[in-house]
Amino acid sequence: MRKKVLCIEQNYSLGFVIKTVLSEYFSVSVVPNAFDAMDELTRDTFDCIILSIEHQNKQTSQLLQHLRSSSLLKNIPVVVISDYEDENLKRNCRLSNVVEIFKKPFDPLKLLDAIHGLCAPVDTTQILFRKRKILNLN
Amino acid sequence: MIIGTVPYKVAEINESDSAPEVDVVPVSKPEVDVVPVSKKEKSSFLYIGEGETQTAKCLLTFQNRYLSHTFDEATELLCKLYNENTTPDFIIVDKPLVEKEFANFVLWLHSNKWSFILPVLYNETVLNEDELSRLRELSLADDIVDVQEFCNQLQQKAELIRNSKTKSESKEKNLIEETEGQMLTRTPFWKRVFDIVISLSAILLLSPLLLVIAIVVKATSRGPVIYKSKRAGRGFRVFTFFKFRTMYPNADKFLDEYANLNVYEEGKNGGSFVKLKHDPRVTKFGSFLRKTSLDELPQLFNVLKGDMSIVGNRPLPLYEAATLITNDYSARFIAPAGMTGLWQVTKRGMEDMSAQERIELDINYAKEQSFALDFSILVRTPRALFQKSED
Repeated sequence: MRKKVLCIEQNYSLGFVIKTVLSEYFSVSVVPNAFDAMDELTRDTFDCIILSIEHQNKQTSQLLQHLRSSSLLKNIPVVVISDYEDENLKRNCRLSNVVEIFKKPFDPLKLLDAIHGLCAPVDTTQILFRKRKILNLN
Repeated sequence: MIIGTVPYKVAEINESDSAPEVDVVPVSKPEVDVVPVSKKEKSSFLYIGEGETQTAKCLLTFQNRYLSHTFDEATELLCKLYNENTTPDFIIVDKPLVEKEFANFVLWLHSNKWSFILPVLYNETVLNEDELSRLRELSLADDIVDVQEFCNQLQQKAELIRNSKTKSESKEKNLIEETEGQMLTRTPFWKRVFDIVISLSAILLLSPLLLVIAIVVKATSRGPVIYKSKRAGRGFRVFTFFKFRTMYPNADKFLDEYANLNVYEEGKNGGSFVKLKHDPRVTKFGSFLRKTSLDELPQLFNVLKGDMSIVGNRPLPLYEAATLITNDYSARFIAPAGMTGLWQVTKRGMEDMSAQERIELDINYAKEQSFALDFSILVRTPRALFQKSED
């Protein structure tokens, strides 16, 4: 059975690109905002979440905090795609279950690699290593 | 539906220092040292639990709190608050899991439109491991959260859950598949039929020419007849792109050395194209093939396979395509890759076309693609090719 990925991306064409690239290997649902994402998360279980965080959009940052504090969702690895990268975002990601951050423009094939890595049979040490590497903690 | 028979007791404290009413069950005495008054959250909640725990104390940060010990009490209290138009913003359950009671309570909440949207947050710390996993399986609570640790995020969390429930109720879900009306994300049937008919006819008709070119390419320089590279098509789908080889073998490896000959400047927002002026990597016969665009003919096989269309956006090498995955430029990937396209017929042969102009034309095509536009591009292509070969 295919692993399920939920992608929250408000930009229609970026969502289409992500869905096209990942769909060959994963079952991908793309939603444009945090509210629809919450709805999807109550309907289905996902193996990975791709969350696009825009500088101007507070909803997605709130969703990231929700994912962090929720006992139901905190074990789902999150990959963040963002149009900016500052200390605040990095701190939020470090505190949350974010294992990788992609800054736009990004290579969708590298995103595919990351999702493959996360949805492979669980190797917690690899995930932790990846997270530490991306967040410059090593 | 369950309506509790136990008379409800209300604990509503509007200001931190106001003392609880006599008949009220206090969550606990307000403790100013927990959170300063100025930082109090404006939303209200209904607390179901004993009210003497550390969790309850941290909840003093909220201005309006209602307390009930049991689910039956909570049901009655909610009805009363609803009638008084003071329904709380969310519910916190802070007691060990009694499955049947909690399930009945949630079922009751779901039976009313107004109570269905109330977020139910279960305090994680009162549950043992078995209860926690059981509660996860049941999917009855909207969230399970360590209330004490994430006290300052409860309002935000409840707002998200509430809005999502409201939205889900009004069926305004907006999945990518349901918004295809915005732009064409699938190849229309007419386009695919058109591509197959044209590419197959052209391959059959031009096969003698293809054979001659193949022989000359092989005879004039060492290396394979066909140049294959990975390109990004519609939605960044990667495919193997075919061309007659026009360069010396391993030319890609020398791209960095000749970067100064690139006719395109680095685009804004990371967009970039590479095209070298008087490219030293091109063979003599390759130069002829490029001028006449005959090197592109093997792409007819890509079209037949469905990787490309006759009309579309230029299939970009992966390193170039990745620079366009931004909010502004990714729309170009809505359109299929094509042998000819809008920018080719708009300014073919003109070297002063900037990368930005090319991207804009690509995006324009992606948004406007239609049979009429494809037909117009196709009609203008021979003229553009002729102009190019004259340069």
